[in-house]
Amino acid sequence: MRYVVTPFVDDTYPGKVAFLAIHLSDGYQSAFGNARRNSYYPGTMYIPDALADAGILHYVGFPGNPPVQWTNMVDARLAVPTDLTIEILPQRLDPAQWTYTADVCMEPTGTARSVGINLAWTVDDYPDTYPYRYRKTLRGGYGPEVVDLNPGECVQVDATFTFSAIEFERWPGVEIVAWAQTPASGWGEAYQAATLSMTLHADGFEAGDLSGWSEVVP
Amino acid sequence: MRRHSACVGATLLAMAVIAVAAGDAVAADRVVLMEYFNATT
Repeated sequence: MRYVVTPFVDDTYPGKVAFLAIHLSDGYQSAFGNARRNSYYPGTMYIPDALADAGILHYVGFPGNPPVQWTNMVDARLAVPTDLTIEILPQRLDPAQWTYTADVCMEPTGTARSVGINLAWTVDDYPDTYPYRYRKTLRGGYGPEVVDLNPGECVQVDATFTFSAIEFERWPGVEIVAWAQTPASGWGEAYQAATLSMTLHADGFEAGDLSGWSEVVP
Repeated sequence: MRRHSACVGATLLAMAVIAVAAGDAVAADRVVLMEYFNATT
């Protein structure tokens, strides 16, 4: 993560990249991440290995290699038009459980097709017991749920995530990621992605939980 | 003078129509998904 990932995540593409660091075989892996590795992307994978937009571009990317190897992929994808939009809507069920809705819409000029909708969450600067900063570590996720989209239509996909002390202790660093991709397994194409930082929901105000507020003005 | 104003108005209207049409043609802003497979060791 070290050299290239931190400026890449923080500065280079603000709001333009949804980043998942999927740990494998090191004690920080997740069932959802393993499924991405073993089921959705069968075949040879390396560590480290970077897939842009569900595998339409690929780079066996050692962090010390020139950042242009990464930015070339992002630049190429940002230049490709898309006909989908995604908005993530949060709802707190209780202190540990949140339901997130991915509202996926196709523009009126879009092309009807089936897409696989995924939701996942990451924790930033975790794990934190190593010399390096590990960014946006995937902790879990849901999908792909395959839905049919037609021009001018929207579909909603819900996922309920249960958080633990790992998230509570790093709450501003928790980020929700949603994306739409080709529904079949194997390297394909992501059509759109979105992120939602839980920073805005740290005090419960946004979720309607005012228990932590000393005064409530109607 | 009035004819000139009408001409300017028609030009602005045409530009507005072109802008709307261009807006329709511009797709949604893309956010790129980057999956980075790694390990701490």
